[in-house]
Amino acid sequence: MTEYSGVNEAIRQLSICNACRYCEGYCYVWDAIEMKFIIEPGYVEHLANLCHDCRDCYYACPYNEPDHAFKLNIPKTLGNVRMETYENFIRPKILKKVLQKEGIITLLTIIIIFIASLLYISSRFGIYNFYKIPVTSVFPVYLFKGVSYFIYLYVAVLWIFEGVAYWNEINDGKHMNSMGIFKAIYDAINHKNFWGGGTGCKIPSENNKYERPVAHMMVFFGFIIALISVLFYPGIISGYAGYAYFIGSILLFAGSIGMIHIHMVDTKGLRSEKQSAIDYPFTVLLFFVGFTGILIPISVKTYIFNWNFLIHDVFILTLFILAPFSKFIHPLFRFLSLIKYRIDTGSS
Amino acid sequence: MPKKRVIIIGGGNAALSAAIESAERGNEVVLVEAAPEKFRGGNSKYTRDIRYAHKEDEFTSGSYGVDELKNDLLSVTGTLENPEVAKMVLEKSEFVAGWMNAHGIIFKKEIKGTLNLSRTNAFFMGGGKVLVDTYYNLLKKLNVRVLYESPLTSIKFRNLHIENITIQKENGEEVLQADEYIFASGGYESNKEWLGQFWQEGVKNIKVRGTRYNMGKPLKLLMDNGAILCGEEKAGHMVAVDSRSPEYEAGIVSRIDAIPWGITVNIHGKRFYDEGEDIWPKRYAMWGRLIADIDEQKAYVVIDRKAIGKFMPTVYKPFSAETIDDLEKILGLPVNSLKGTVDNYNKGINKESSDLFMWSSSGSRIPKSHWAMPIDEPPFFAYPLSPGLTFTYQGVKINKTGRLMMIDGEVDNGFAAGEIASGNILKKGYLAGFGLVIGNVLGRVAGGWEND
Repeated sequence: MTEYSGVNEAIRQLSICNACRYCEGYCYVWDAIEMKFIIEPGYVEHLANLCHDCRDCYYACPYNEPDHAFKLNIPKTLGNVRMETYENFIRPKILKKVLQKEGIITLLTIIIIFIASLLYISSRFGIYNFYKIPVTSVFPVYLFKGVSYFIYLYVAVLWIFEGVAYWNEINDGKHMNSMGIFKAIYDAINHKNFWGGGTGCKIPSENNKYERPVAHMMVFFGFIIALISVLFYPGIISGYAGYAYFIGSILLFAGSIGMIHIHMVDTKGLRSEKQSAIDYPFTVLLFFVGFTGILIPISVKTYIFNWNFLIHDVFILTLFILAPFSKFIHPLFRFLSLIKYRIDTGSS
Repeated sequence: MPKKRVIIIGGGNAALSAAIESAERGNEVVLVEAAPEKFRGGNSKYTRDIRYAHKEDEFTSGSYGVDELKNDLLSVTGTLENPEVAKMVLEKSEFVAGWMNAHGIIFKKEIKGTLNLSRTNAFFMGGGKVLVDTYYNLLKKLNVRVLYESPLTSIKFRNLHIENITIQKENGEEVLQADEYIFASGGYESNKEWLGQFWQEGVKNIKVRGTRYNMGKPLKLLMDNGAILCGEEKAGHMVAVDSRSPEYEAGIVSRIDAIPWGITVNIHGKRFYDEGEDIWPKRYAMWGRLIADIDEQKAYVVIDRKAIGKFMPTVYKPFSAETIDDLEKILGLPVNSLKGTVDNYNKGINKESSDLFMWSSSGSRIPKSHWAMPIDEPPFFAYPLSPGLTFTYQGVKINKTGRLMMIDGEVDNGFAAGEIASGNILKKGYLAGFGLVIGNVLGRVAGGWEND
């Protein structure tokens, strides 16, 4: 069992929660905590990844820092533990440094891929002629699909390594089963833990209810729609897959604007700063993916089409290359914790 | 034009219920709270449920009639101090959950594991802080003025009429005048000096579970002006809490409910009361007072491995040892005292029934009548216990219109609600979840509900 400083602080705070339990009903964390008499390190990581940071528990808590002797701040503390979980289960381990410097590394990756593609273009077509070339000549189907499938495989393999390591930490000796997986998929799709048990999500402030769940759902579904429709390349430029890709891009664009707005106006001091540091670059990257995705059908037959398509692909490539070492790993840990929760709570 | 000007003294559930009720009836309401804004809400901030009479409803698992509620109340308090007020609260409790729900309080759909109160009590999402915050937000919409950090310093009476009140502000005193005054300012549980008048030295070991702002000043002023008192000065809601918890504001988390699963000894290592005497919920609210009455107001509950998991998790880890001798040393009890007590207890256990509840021990002068599990499997654990005072019961007598009763008669424009009037209903013991109901009903009656 690995131990970390943030985990110890979380154990201190959650032991107080477990003696209180007033927050029962807000999300799975509070049902999950009641299954334990004593909270241990592996379980804390599980709880931290079940937490979707809606802050309902923070606003309900009479024991918060700085005024109360117990000095609780559960969403922030669990945010710190989540960050530690990501750092500890990134494989290869050395690449946790990517997460720690996510902003600058995201930018560098974009620049490097862009320069590399410029070199490729100038050698094949010439920079000045590039805009005139049909897109399927620039990105032939075999090349586009080859690169796509390779990058999916790369992400899948690394996620499996990371996921297995995390699952071994939290599983309590239980085996994964299909019931747990199906129910976890259901929870992920309907954003079960975003709604504070019906009371809403208090991010970015106490007066909010739906801003974050709605923004996150837009990003989530936008991404999935785009991901599926891109399998039909070159159909994403025209035809039904094209419409789907356009809609996916709009959702991604609008949802990421919502998420960026939330980060900008967020109540100070309530968010784990380490979390914010990885949230920002990821969300901004999604914004550009969405924005350039929207431009694809709009720019058809204009001179910016190829350039936009290229830049769009640079952003997407960056997103996937960094997926195992960036904020993009959060669904992996969340999903595994949802599965564990559903297995622990049984068939009901 | 507002119908009346109303001043409410206090800032918890009773005061807020009174303010909302009164403001909704078109009155101009000012709420005067002693605490700063971030500490507002009195003891209500530490609550989570209501016990109310109801037919089958969506908040509980079954019906609970007024008569059953009354019997449960009588089973803990013995007699009703002020029957007409108690009767009114019992009957009007039927409206509490619906009213709260209509004013933004969300009740939980189902309650797991926490307590076996699912039929009699409704639990609201987030607990007391959400409750008071919801009500304060509502006050803004109702244009109720809220003055924080404004403790009451005097009340001016003319015969049976209140002329005005004076509050302490940052830059001096301020006189406030209104048509009606509602005192919903809590008990005197935070006032160690006051408590020391009858708990003497022992007061320093009493943990105040809730707010540190219930100093009892309004109650004292009413007493000085000739209010009739209700209830005994030592009476209150008192539970056993961990001695290591902070002096104030630990709320629910410091309570130790391991007592039925082991034995409880005093500083001499001797048992002093039947730990299995009664069934929940009575026992929970009984042990605070029991501990308050023994030497140094200190006790230890001793359990073994088998008891772990049978009671609610605790904030602080128990003391633990592989032998009773070692545990005795760690706790600083006299040599062989705990050993002897545990041996006698274990020897006297009668396990005839298959139902653990029926196991008893008669190994010493003080029997343990239920749940007498032997203490024989290491590791052995002990929690240090202190009395934890939730709120005091002694307060002012009111009539069924909520008006204050003075030696000379009823005050025409003065009301009381909540803890300050709880002595009209609670004499001893406590009925889980009833405090908020008393506050809600009396608060709303004071706020004008009586007129319906």
